[in-house]
Amino acid sequence: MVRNRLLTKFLRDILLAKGQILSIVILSALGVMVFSGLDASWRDLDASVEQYFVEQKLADFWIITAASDKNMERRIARIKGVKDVQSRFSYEMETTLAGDPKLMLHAVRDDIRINIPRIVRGSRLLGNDYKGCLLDVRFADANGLSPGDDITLKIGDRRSTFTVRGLVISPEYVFTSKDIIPEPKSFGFIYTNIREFSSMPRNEICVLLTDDADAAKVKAAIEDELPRAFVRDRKSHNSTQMIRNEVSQFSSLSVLFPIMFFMVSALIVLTTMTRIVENQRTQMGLLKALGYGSGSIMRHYLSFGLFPSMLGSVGGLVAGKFTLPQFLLNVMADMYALPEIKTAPISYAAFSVCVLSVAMTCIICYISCRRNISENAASLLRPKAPKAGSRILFERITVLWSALGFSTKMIMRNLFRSKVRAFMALAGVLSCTALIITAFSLMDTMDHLIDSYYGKTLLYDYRAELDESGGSIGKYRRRMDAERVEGIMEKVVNIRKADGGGAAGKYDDGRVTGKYGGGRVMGEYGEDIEQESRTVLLTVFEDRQELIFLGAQDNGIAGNTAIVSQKLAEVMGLDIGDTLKLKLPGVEKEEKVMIAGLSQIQIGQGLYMTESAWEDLERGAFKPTALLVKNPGRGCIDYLEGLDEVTGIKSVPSLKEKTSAGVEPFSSVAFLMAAFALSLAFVVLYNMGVLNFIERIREFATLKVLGFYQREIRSLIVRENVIVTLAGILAGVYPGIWLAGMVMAASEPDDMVFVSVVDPVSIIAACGITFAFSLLIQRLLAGKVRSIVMVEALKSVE
Amino acid sequence: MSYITFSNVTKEYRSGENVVKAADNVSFGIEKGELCVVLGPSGAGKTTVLNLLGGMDRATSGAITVGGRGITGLKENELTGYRREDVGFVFQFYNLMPNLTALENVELAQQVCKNPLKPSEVLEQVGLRDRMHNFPAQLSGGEQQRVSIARALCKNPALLLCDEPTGALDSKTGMQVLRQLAEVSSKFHTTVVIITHNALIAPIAQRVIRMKNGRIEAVEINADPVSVEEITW
Ligand SMILES: Nc1ncnc2c1ncn2[C@@H]1O[C@H](COP(=O)(O)OP(=O)(O)O)[C@@H](O)[C@H]1O
Ligand SMILES: [Mg+2]
Repeated sequence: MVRNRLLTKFLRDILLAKGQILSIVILSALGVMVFSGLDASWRDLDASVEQYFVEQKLADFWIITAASDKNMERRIARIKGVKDVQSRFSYEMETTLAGDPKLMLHAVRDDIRINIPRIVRGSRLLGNDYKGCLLDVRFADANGLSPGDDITLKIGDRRSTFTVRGLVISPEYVFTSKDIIPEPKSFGFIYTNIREFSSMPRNEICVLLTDDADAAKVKAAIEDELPRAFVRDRKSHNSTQMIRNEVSQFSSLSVLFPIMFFMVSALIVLTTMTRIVENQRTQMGLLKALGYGSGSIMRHYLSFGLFPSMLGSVGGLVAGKFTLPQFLLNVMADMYALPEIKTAPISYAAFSVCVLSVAMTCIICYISCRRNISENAASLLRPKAPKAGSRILFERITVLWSALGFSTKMIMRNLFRSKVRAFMALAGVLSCTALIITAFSLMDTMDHLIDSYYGKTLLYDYRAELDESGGSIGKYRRRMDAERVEGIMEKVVNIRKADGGGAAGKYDDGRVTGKYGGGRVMGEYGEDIEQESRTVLLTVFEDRQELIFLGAQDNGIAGNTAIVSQKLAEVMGLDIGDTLKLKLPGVEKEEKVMIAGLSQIQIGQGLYMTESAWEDLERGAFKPTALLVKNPGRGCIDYLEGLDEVTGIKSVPSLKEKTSAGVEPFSSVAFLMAAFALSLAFVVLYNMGVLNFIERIREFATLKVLGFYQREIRSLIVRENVIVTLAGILAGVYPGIWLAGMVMAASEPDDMVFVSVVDPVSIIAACGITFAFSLLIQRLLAGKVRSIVMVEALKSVE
Repeated sequence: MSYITFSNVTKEYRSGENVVKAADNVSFGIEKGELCVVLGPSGAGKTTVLNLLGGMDRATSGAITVGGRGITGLKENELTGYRREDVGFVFQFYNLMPNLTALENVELAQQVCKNPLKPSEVLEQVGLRDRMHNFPAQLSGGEQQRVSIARALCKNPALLLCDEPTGALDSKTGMQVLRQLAEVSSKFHTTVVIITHNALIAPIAQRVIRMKNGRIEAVEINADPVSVEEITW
């Protein structure tokens, strides 16, 4: 029986070069895994969320109105594109539970047709069940309630008791919080029948659109139909917007970094592959001399590339897909109430990266084989000639050159003569350093963002929320013992850019609106194009406010002018001097306001005005909705807590803590990237170290025979590699900072400004870690010098 | 006692259950300044003996001394020192550094020893004046072997060990190489051990050690060695 000896050779070679083959497997796996994992994370999340929204019929619009009636519903239902309309009574209520937690109540007639809650435990709420309710499952868990228990709501002096039928999650409450992170113990939602509240107005109308509806058109039509109502779309619906932002942040983080990561691992795979093939040069000559055809030699060597890279890439594809989403989405579970995340099929993009990874390895393998095979057998059997006596440039500076020790000369020559090898090693170290810096900088940027927002933007210590019964600011100031007390008034408003030309901004794709009113700019084809309105928070300050630093000349604004935060301006295509149309809730007419400045505020984008500018609008007096307190005296906070109109007091440190928790998903991605960058660096450095060692093992054996001490040989190896590593690390710092900036810019959400920050500590840490890895690997290799068996290493001509 | 002594030296190679005795109870002596040829067919154990003598490998049992100093008991570092100071090697397969030029290869050896000869002069001596700045891959086998000899000579060693130095060379170049080796022996009183399977070389040696199957077959003393010019093959 004739066995396939080429196969035997292949298997033996793989065993012999198991280190390199293994690193090809690992590198291919890492490269593909990071991409496929992050890609799958956001796709799974996105697909699950969208499916959830469709299945549970998430409203497209929430219309806030004084009172809705059948007639109003009918008028909205008639608008083209509207599929269903359901009005309800929505109100935030206290419960009689311990700690006075609050619930947002939504009371509906009949069955719930829009924003249908999904039952987690218990049963449905029937349309004629007047005493039953569906309760937020997280609220119920936090407060120890189960289906069958009763819960009592308070409105003024009235008490209404309901029996919990089912515990639910709701598509309109993916994110349930009044500020930054959910506190299910103190705030949740509840759905009941409206019968119990028949005396109350139906103050909210949910609107569901058909699949092919033009949302902007419908919105404008509704605004036309109900000029006093306030229309919220999904973009200005906090819960929906939060989760969508999360998805888009994930998706943008899942592009640049993984691609760079993939490129680095591919680079190393390719150089390793080339070197494995180069090291087989004489054997190729031998096979050729023996009469093997180019085809079968090629197939033989292609298997060196194909199998390891396929194993690694497919493994990485699968591993990434099934581990990373689990990890990342778990981190988000505290923030978002979502149904179980479904696994979307492997995306086209991830699959392409996997195929690309295998293809590139095979192609490079093919190219280096081709280059060798095309030579004749005889010349292959000789080792490749280095370029004839090429002196390195430095040698020409004789004075300096002769001052160097011999081993330094040897190192320098070695480095310059094997330029490709040295360059690849340098590129490997460089890119690892850059990737680690980038990963660290993601964390730095978040830390810096939070520190600067709470340390430099918010200059107060406490913030107390006031309800409608709050009085004038003077009253509080007189009674409060604090370094400074200021009132602010916050209102949710809709704004749009008034006419006057200019680009429509990158947001809201400036749809054609035809007959509907509002500010217009002329479109490309002469049609009327109107920018869709955007719901933002308007903050009105006292005239001489000091407790929020806007980074703009905010004290000068008066007479129908306002300041817009820079990110909002960017998103809406606004600039200083532009005019905004401002729609206040319950007011039919739009106000015109001029933009007097842009603020550099980083978190929470919105519109700012002074008290006098507000009063110029003549839309009611300045009535604070929150008090800002700096350096309160002893009794100050107690006094506030005792007031009926104060609905909550938050300290800045606790807000800061919550924000930190809020960016947790982002930080975990950053952490993950750092972990991957570090493991990549390790594999890359190890791989290169080992390859260098293996390729030169005969040289080291010869040095050993010539009587070089082990430490001399070791220092030769270590010094040479240290030079390359140091050069690579230094060269990697700037690309790292640059890449960090790119990644941050790509992952900036609409309501935040990321100023890419690279902490010097991070740079030092990144450099230090890379260097430490390199030294560790040098030590491992240097230890191998002892184990070189001179007799065997020198026996054969390879 | 002779300058070099082997007493009952055995070297075993183990591969799995097989044990190969590459040197089997070998005993002999070589005097200082002698030109000695170790002769035997391929696989006889010549390289093994030379490697043991050069401190590149350790004997399984037995004792080796050089100039009264026991080699077998030396620590790794002392063995390295011995190779560095006392031994010059000429390898069967040259073993030159591929990315150093001929001159640099010689300088590499010069760098580690106490009273080296001048590398360029040694290279001139072996007839490579014009090829000094070439890389090994640009040299023929014979030229590479001569670089290898120059590298060994430049250390000005007490003991010069050559494994098949003429194996890859034509007779004319081979004789050139042998002449140089003989000259080193007579001029500097260097003890030279040459391994060969070529019996025609034997007459130039003062001592011929014949090996077969890892054993010493015979040791012949040649009181009147012929000069290199008188032999041919
Ligand atoms: N590392 C080794 N492992 C196993 N056997 C070996 C090894 N080195 C040499 N041998 C065996 O020892 C014997 C002597 O080899 P060697 O000294 O190289 O012979 P020579 O140089 O006379 O041709 C041979 O049979 C060879 O197969
Ligand atoms: Mg031999």
